[in-house]
Amino acid sequence: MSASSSPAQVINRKKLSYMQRLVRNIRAYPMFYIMILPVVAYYLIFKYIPLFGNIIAFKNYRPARGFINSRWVGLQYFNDFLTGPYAYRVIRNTIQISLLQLAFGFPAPIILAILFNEMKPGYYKRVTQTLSYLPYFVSLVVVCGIVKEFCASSGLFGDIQSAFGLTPINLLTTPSTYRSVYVCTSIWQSCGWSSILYLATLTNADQQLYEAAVIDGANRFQQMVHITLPTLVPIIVVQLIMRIGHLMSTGSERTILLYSSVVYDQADIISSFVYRYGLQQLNFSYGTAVDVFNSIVNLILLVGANKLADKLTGESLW
Amino acid sequence: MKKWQRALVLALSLMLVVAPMTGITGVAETASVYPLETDVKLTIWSRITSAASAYITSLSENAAVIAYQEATGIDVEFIHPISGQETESFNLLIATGTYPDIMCASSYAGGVAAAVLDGVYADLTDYLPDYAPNYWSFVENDPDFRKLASTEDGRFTTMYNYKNQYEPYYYRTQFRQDLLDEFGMEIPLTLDEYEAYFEAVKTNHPEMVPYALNNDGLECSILCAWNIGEIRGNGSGCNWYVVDGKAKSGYYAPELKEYLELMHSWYEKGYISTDFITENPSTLFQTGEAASCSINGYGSYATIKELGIPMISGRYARINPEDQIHTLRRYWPNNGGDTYFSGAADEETLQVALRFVDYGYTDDGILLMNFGPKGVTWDEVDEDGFPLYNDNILNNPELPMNNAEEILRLHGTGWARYRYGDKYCMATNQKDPESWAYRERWGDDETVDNTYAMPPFTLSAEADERLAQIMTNVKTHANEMVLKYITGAADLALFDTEYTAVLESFGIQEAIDIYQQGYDTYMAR
Repeated sequence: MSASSSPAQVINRKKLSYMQRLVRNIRAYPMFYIMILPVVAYYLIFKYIPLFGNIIAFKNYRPARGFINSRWVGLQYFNDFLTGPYAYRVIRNTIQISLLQLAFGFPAPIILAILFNEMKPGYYKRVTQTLSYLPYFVSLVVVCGIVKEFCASSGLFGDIQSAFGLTPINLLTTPSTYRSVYVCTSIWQSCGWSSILYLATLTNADQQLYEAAVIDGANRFQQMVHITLPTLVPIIVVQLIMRIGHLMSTGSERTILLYSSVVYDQADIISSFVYRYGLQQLNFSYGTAVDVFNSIVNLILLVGANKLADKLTGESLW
Repeated sequence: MKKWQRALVLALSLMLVVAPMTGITGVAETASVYPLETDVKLTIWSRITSAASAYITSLSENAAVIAYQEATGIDVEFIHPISGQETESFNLLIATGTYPDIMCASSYAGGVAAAVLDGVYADLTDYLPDYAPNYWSFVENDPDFRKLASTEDGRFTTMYNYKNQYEPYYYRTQFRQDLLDEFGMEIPLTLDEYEAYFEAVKTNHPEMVPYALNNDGLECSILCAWNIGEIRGNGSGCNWYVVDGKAKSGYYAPELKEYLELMHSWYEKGYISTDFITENPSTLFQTGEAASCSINGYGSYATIKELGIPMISGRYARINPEDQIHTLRRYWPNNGGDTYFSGAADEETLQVALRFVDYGYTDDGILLMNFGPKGVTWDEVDEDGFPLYNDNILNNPELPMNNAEEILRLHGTGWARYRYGDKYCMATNQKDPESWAYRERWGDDETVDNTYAMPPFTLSAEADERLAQIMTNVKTHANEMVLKYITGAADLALFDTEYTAVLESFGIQEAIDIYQQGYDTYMAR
């Protein structure tokens, strides 16, 4: 490192405070800081500033009184939720549905990516790959509309049930089949898209390993298990930790579009509950309290998952 | 200083200023002379109907609104919410601290009473007699209206539509005349006759759904056989009602079990579609896939007639032919149109805003608000003095009639006004007299009355909040269980423990007590 490139570096680092170092760095690399500015602004405006809004979870919020002047009620809304009749059910459903999605939805793109990787490059591969991304670009509202039509007793799946001599049922309004439809919809829509990340990782796999394996007499399946999969492990772990961080934040949109009151017992999750009680019933404080509770659980899960991953594989986010 | 003292000082000081200039005593001028001379420009928060927004972006382009502004001499500017997000938009606007001068919305989070406490809505009690004298004369001359238009403690915070005409109710079960003829049946009256019709449909037309039940499974025009709830369109089957002075909730009615048993048997027999939870009953009926459904037959009369479906209006279901039904909707004199005024507006703006709305209760204003501007929507009147629509409404080459009704006159939106019955102001009656005849059918049925109707009184802010808290849970559980019982996902044998006992644990009795108290206070006033 030459002194001429940055005169400030001549000074002993340990004597500089954080702010001094920051100023020095900004002077030295102004373009980098300008480039990161929009990202920092995004997180500040859309992620950090709204955090202060959580204060209404502890207040009886009324729009005209605002965040500051609404009356304090302490933990009343947390208490209402946790001692209320639906807390256990929505928490249980959230965890169960998330685990189902994790169990079936998480491996799906990995398997798909490995399968694509095994295909010979050519027309067929390109077409199937593109087709697998397509559902991701269809609006969720449209996807759920299609799913609803298909799942009706007179729809596609109803016809299939009839063909096998069963009495057709509506899969979305039957409590025992709702979750399967819910999870499959999510896999169908995002599987192809999510596989891109894994495919991209695989293009970097060292081809010499495969050549060596072939010479050693490994068949295709053995190559898959001993070369392809290990190549993917770091990215799988990172993805898994991120997924666990979202375990409790299963999106409300798909639930709201697919469920009906008859399947609440199986379908109602925290976010749809917050939507109904908080937004539809205009009980903003109660809704916020439930959401804050949700975030706390989420945080615990994320930290826990990260620790666990670190212990088991040595890979972790921080 | 007491209020009257302050008023006296104000009046005296006004006299000192005004008297030398005009030579008259400084008594506030009350009677409004339209058009007013004012520079105040009002903002109005109002919904815009989809029929209107298909052609115009703001109600300020509406012909009746333009004429209204000219007549009152007051300029207005509209704030319209996004369709389908009215409640959120309204509360968001209030949260930013912007209170429109006139608000056609009662959706403040916390309720109307809370909105007055928070200063969003103005308390109009001291202003109405002076600045809305025409409205006030209706309030003074109709004791029922006076009670319904004021709060528990006698304050006036809202201006309502005033309507004092009886009208036959339009929500009924619709059947197919061609099928009745085919089966040699009369229009069903008892539940047994309903079932006979469904059975005949099932046997002779297996491709059809005999009855398209509405999505929540609580059908008011069948629940009335047990006299539960209120016949008032979809979702009203378990409304509050009152029997011999006792407030009751449809969700907690013991007879609900019998209703659910019947619906479950209909579901099992295939009288109801397996997909009723997600299907639109009206669509099924219009496409000829359903042989009956309960809808607003009058409202869809023109559409269904054009589709060539021989629809025939049915009678409310009952168990025995001689049963009397008490749960019909009652038209109360405060007929919606809830209009509020900004609690943050200055004195002059509030006065002008009240005078603006009050114009809708003057003779000229009533004609304008109900029928649209003369020369635009009508030219002549009939022998009773009611305007006859011209071709701009009835046969407009550029606007379909239901759009014209929202663009050339004000029907589905806007602020409070004196309201004429649908018979006089709906264009469809003049276009096709049969449509009104359709609505009047069974209108004089003496076996149906509205003695169980719960008056739409207002509760205090605390009572409102507590009631909402309980009823949200009650409705969640009821909506879930009702559908489960009908589809058989839950066993009706456990109704008492899985349904009734759960509602009790949610505090349904407390909710009933709150409502009872509100009702008693209302009746005592």
